[in-house]
Amino acid sequence: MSEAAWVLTAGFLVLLLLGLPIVFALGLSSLIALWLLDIDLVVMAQRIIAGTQSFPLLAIPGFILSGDLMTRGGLSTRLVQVAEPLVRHVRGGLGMVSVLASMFFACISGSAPATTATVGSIMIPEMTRRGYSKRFATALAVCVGPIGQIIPPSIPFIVWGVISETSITRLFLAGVIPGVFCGMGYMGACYLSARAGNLPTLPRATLAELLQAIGRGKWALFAPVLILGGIYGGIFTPTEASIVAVIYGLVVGLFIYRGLEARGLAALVLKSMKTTAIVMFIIAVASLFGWLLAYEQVPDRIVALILSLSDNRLLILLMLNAVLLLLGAFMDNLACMIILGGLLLKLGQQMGLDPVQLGAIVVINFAVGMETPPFGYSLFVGSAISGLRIEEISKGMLPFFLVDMAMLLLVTYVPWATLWLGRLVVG
Amino acid sequence: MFKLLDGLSHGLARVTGGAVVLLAAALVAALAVSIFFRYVVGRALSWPEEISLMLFAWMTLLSGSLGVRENFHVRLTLLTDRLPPRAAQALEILSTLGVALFGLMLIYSGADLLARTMEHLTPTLRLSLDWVNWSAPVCGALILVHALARLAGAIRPPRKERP
Repeated sequence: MSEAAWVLTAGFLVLLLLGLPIVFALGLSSLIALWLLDIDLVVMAQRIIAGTQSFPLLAIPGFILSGDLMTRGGLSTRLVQVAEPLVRHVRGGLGMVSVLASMFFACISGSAPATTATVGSIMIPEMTRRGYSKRFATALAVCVGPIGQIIPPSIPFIVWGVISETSITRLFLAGVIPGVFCGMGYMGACYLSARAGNLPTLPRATLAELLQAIGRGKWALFAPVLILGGIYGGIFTPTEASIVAVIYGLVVGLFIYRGLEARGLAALVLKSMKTTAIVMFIIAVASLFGWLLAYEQVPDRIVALILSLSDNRLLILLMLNAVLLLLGAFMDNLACMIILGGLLLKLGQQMGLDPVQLGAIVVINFAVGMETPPFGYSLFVGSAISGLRIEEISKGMLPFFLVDMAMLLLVTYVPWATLWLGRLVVG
Repeated sequence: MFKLLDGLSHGLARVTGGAVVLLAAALVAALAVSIFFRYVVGRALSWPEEISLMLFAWMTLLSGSLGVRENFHVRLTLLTDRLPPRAAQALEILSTLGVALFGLMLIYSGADLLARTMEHLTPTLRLSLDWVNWSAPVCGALILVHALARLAGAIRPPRKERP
């Protein structure tokens, strides 16, 4: 490898370990590579700006803002309240309420930490009050987080769609079956844990209670119909759908549920835009970094190396999962995805993997990384809400982690699970 | 020196924050108009896409610069957390210097880009590309100021209270 290629790989890792923020580790290693390769410095500004000039990426600020508006506006609370009368009477029912609520919430939000925050802040106190252990309640709230970005809309799927030039609608649909599978699996795990721990069961909700919850939550329940129905019906592009969601969240939050106040809006928008900045600034600078990687043909070399190690497809896929899981556990998942995008695409091409399925493998592995120690945002959020230490929460996660592994095997080895719905709806 | 730099950094961050909120509002408005025209009026407009991408470049680069002051950019602290405080502080100074260097180079690079694309126009609205390209040197300058303020703060004798 050339000196510049070493700077972009080993040099980048060193900068990262020295504690430089990812975005500046990307930027500085790119600067050194530009200098070594004697490339005009103007490329830096050019590529960084070009990295932002993508219409589909506009869905990121859109969905982050709409998620924040709907959470603050009171829509998410109503979704949890609809989930409760549906399953609370089953053994382990309150755990299932957490799972179901996160699946509802996932249909309006594309972020794992936001899902854990929303569901956890309501359900952790509720579950502990009813006799569940705090460890179980928190571990569950942490684990349901990733469902938020597996079930569409999903910010990582948008990013992957842009990197791989794949249809975001197809990618969204690829997340549905794995997401529902994961939710069902978690509910099964709740049932078994409740049987083993002999947990209390709540009385069945009356029809009147259920209807009342649905009546209160109807505006919240309509949000996913509008957003997802619009995308799958081919009416809106994902970017347009995110803007429709912003306006819907604003109107419902301001005038119907009244969780929003006009006075606090600017602060809320600024907060959402800072969340967006974390992702988008990395995307912008990584566009320079990725350009240099491709210029130096680094992805090709690494793929050749991997394929020279083994030509067993099953084995390579298993290794891919292991590496992605491990990376996801240590690094910010969107940053990983952007940095490794070129490499993963090359590998997928060489192996004849459908880019939609490859996207699902990548996104879902990294989604699971959101709940795994040491570096999982959902885990941090869960720990902040419950006050439990990361180690303590991790111990409670085992049954759910097993479900995650089953989901990953499904996604990796059964193409049908991620491709069928896309073919059915989009054609 | 620290007071001056920190004041400047603080003031610029406030202005940047306000600008980001306005940009976001304009972005939502532009796209909402586009959606309204496409589905209600039945006419597809082409300017909202162009405008919204210009706003997006500014929004990303401006809000990204805020991360330097507020330290919200994601980093790995696996190693640095385990270092003795002295070494950790030295590394912090070093990495802030790196961030300042990035800002400085972005100013140069952005100025160069501006000089070369002066006469280029956007396809639909025939606006000068300068409108987008100014975002790079401005972002570079903001990053430089915030990083220098952090450096000045880090070099000062340690304060009693730490946020």
